[in-house]
Amino acid sequence: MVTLVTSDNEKFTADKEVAERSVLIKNMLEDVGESDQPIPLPNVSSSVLKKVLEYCEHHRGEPLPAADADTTQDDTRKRTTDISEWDQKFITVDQEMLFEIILAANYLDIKSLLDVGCKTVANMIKGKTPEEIRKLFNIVNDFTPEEEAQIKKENEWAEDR
Amino acid sequence: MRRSLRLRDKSKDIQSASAGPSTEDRKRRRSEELDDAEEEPSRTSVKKKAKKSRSDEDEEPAAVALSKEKKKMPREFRKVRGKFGLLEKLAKDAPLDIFFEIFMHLDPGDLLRLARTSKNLRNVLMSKSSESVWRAARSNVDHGLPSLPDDLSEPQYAHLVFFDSYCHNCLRKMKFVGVLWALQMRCCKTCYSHLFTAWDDVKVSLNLDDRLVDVIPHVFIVGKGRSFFMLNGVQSALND
Repeated sequence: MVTLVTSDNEKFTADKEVAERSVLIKNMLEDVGESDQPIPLPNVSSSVLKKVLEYCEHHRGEPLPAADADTTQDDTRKRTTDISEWDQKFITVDQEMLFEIILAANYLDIKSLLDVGCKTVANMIKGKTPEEIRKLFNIVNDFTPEEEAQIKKENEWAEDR
Repeated sequence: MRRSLRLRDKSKDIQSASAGPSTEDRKRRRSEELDDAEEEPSRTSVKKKAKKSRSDEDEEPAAVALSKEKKKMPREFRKVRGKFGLLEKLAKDAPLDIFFEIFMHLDPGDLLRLARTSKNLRNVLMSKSSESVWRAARSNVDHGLPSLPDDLSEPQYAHLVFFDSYCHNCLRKMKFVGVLWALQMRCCKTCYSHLFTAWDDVKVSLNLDDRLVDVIPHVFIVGKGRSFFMLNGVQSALND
């Protein structure tokens, strides 16, 4: 068992196999060797770690993507925005939590979870008009009407202007 | 209580619908979002009563999918909430890699629409350093599209091929706006008829030689059996 300590000082214990789905934790464990010392995770709060561990628990035993996954595999991963049914249910959270999960997955280096999070955000954006995107993500339209008409015509790289 | 349950359901709806939204789903969602906007004032006031201390942070209308299950957030995480929504927070607080990781899953039309939501997002996306994202986005769409012409940037190409159908001349939204590949623009029928002129008229009005006909960008209209030219296009081509 591994003990993890969150930013708000809550302790979680998890099977080594589960915790090691995080490459960060895996590397840490390898570095310290056999020891019962708790691992501090100063960037992850308890509510988020609970979610993350739930994910790792469900996916325990599945092969981890190789660190140097070949490019063809990488391509197919990028092309598809399909999310498995369980993952989809798992990631059905409010935007605040989704944001925290993405950050945590990035920090803990859990590639598959980061992927699920990013795909979810991408799916929220897909096919929407600028106005719909603003509404969904609470983005303030800071263009003046004149600027808005202008950007409809301008599609140059910013540096080229 | 009843309200918060309903909201939670709604956020689930939105999440699951966004996985593979059919047009109907989208329509439904759109109307839901409108509903939400109307309900906003009452919702904010409920929130204010519940959590007075945070009232000024919540002044901005909350994002649609934001539910209320987040009381246990530690203080340092609360700070990032503020008026920023998910996307802007990612742009602000997350490594750029994550942002790009999200964009990799979109198509160029989505990127262009994102680049028209706010100045912040526009700056990120229209910077030349984002070129790889656009390229990746283009590779997501595999419909045997013409390859990127040398003289167009990725966003310009997206504007021509993927963006909502509006006429590049009058900017009005149309059901069908043709892509004029030779001229790299989209044009509606109305503009078409006063922008384009048959060669015979162009020739006379600009006093041109017939041999120039092939080197000037033009559109061949199958139905009419001849080519049409854009007057100001002809002039700029001649200047070149």
